[in-house]
Amino acid sequence: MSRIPYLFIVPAVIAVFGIGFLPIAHSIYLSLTSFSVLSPEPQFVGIQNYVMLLRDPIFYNAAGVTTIWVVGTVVIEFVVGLFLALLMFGEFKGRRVFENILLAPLAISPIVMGVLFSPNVLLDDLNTLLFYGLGTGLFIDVNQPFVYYGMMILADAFVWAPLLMLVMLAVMQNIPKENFEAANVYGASSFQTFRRVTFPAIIYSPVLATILVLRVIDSFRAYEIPFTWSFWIGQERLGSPIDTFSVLMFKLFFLRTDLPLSYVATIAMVLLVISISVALLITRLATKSWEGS
Amino acid sequence: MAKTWARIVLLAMASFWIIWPLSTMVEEGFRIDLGPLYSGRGQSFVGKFFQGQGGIRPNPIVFLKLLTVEAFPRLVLNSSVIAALSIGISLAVGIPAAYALARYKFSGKALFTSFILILRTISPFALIVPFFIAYGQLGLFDTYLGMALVYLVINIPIVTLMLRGFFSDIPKSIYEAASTSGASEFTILRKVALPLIIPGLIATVIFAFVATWNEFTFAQFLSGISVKTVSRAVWTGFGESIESFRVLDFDELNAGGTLAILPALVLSLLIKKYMARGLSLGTTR
Repeated sequence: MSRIPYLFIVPAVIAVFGIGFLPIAHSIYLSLTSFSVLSPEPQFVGIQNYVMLLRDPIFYNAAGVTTIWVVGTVVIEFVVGLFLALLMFGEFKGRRVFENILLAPLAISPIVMGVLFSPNVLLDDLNTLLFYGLGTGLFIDVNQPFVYYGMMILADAFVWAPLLMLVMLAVMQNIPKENFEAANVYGASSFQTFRRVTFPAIIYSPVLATILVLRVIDSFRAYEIPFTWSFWIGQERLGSPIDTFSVLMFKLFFLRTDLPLSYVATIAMVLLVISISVALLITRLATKSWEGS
Repeated sequence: MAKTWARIVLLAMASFWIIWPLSTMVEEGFRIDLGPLYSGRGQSFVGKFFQGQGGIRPNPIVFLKLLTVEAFPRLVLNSSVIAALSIGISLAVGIPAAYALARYKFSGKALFTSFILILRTISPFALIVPFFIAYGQLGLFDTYLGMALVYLVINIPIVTLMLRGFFSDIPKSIYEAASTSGASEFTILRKVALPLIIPGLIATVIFAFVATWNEFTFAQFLSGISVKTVSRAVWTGFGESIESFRVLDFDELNAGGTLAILPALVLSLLIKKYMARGLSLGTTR
């Protein structure tokens, strides 16, 4: 009996080892060498790459940009998701239609969102409407940081706010009916019911905690939308105000002629520490939801 | 009553926010562009790229060009073959693993789950560099097998964590009854548990297919011309050109984007019921 579970997971362990751990080990090794077009034979240099990285302003720039991006997307998605969940809670006419529309973005690839929210597709319609259609003489300048960060974050929220809605709805549907009835008996207004019953149930739900952690790490790794925007606003140099860690690694890969693979691996290994801690955190948060059935 | 109306109005506004960009994409694919129309100059004045002639008369030429002259059907074939291969392998290793996670307590269970989750949370770039080097040496660069293998990084967590939920939804008494009748554990999985979760299995496969179909980062670095995927073409263009630094044709990108999201959209709405489960690592039911 005791050997059986291990027999069942052996194929998966081998696969995870082959496509995950072997490449990670290789990356760790590369990060300790000098390996690029300039030195095609990897030479062991110890922690030199890490020292270089810690002195590199583009690294701190990327950390700052990534922080803005992660905080912006997750906060907007949480607020919009909560708002949509409250609107969709309960039974009413036309609920199914709205559900189909609101869930549609979850099927859409982020790279499509990068193209769709580009200055040439959505913003130019809006701008000509503003400038000529309404005759205001105003237009939105995409080169303003406020505008491009805003558009990037909106594009990401377009896709992922529905996810937060979906999860919050699931949590709200699990609140015992008696809690709402009790609130009703005590004559609570709908805002008081929200503050005392609905909101605490959502906030303290382990499922929501899992999803928020997952959103933070996914936003942290997000690549497509900042990548496309680095082209839309012509920020092709290293250390631009749009370089999240992912975009920075893309640029080191494609825009530097010496292809500094070991330096890319070094950045990736610093990020790996964050990925592993998050994976452990999710395991702890989600175990209760997985086992509790 | 008034509250219901307020709710409908607010939801209609939210729906407009979702439909507006999507309809703009479809329109621009049909060469309907309000921007240049309003400006009356034949080109838009923001952004650094030239914007072509606008108009309000739909013209299917771009769609026809994509489907007949350029390689769109080939891209669909590429994406589908890669997804099928990758999901097949994921199911082979993921079904038993999910079953073990749902049914047994064993030491190392949390550790194994963490391994799966590390695949789910790792930055693609931590894997792209070693894959890029290894594929160059093994000859797997720009091959179906190479792409299918790297997509295991996405599909193994999806399959394992989603199916784990479906397996634990089966009442314990069914497992116990099968066990006392003397069936081996492997037979229980094959003859009892799997047939019971067929709908869940289908939902899992569809979910993994959409995730693979939409994936861009690995495809950008590890595929060349011959196995280029749909979602990569949404960025690089649909012709035979490999890289992105050509003149961007926004009509073409939008038409291609429309065609690319259609199957994903239809499939996702089919499994709407299971979407929360798939996206939340199986924590919601």
